[in-house]
Amino acid sequence: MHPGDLLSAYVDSQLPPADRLSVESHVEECGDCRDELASITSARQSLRDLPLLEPLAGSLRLPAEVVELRPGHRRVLVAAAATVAMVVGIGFGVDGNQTVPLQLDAVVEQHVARASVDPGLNVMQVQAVANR
Amino acid sequence: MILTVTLILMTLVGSLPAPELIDDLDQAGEAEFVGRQLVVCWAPDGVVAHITDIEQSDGMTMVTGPDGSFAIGEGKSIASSADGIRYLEMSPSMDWRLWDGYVVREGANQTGASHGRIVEILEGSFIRASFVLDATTAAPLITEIYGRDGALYRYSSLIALSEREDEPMLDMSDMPEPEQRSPAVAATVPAAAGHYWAADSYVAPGGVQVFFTDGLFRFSVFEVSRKSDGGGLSNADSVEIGGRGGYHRMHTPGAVSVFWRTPDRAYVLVGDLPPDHLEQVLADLPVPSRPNLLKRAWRWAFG
Repeated sequence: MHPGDLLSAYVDSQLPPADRLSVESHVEECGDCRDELASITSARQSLRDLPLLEPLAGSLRLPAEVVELRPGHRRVLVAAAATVAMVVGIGFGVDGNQTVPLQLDAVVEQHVARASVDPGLNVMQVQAVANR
Repeated sequence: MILTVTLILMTLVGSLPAPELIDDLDQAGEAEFVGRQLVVCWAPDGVVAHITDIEQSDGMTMVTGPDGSFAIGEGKSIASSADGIRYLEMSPSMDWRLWDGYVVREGANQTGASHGRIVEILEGSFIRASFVLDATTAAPLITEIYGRDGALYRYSSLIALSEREDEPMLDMSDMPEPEQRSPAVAATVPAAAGHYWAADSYVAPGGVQVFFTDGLFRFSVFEVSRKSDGGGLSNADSVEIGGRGGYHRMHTPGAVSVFWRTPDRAYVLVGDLPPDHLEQVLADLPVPSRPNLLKRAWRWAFG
């Protein structure tokens, strides 16, 4: 079973030791999760490296409370909002963690049904059925 | 000049399948028998094998196992289990042909057995497939499929073979109305992959099925949503095929299934093609890759 959302928590060092070990052990074996982990880590690093931009006056409709904040506080707020969006995005299946189930049997049946019409070399049909 | 013409003619004649041998193989698919079938596959991930009860009659082949029975033939697929009956019917029309890279020839009987006729299919200079057909029923007693390296990839043998009694194999009166599959177009699957050609394509569970054949082996590519779990195949270990990672592969004795994702879609390939053909085919299909972070965030935020 892939760790999925646990990868995000792993990067944030929020996992208990047992889960941490389990994730590390899985990632060693699974190329997909290794890629996912690298992607999350890279995203975190990119976020840390982002320059803090000063919003142009009047370019954003910010709530009055935000406008009244001093510039330094505003930068922190924008960075925090971006972080939350990224973490939530990565954690909640931007990359398809919320999967749609597919019936493999139904797919195989459709393939062999079509294959059975192939008029030549029907001897191979027997092997196709043996897929079951 | 004469030599050149002769060589060209010899090459052309040599690439044509011998009609009577093709007829033999076709007849093997129509043979009527009851038996047990052993299928062994020496897959790259390990050896898989099973034995099933098998019955063939009226153009239909039925396999019976502990979980129910499954029958195919003439475009029909009938799966019967405790969950009920699933009945699918397809009616494509296409002219069958054998890939011109194959040559069909009568095989030499090296075992001295007198009960079968041997038909071999050569690909270039090596034997790709070999069939021993029963002299009486034309049933495929032994089928062998070889890899490009000459190693046996799949072996099947009919054992305890007997002629079946003259009674209907299936009681069609209890069948529900069959599901029909209408033609559809896949957005990203090419018309050819390796030396295989796309014969036709249909609406399928979760997407579109594109059926490929080379006249000997067949496979289908199902183009589905990127979020598809590939029927559980996404949980199989990720493997490299042809130097590219991101494929999830599973072998059964009779077929290989591969699942992979691209930034926009996912694909399930199901078929009986040997590993070297699979590698060539995958090289021509969309390759596994992940969407970049910005796209992923955009998709998450805006769908």
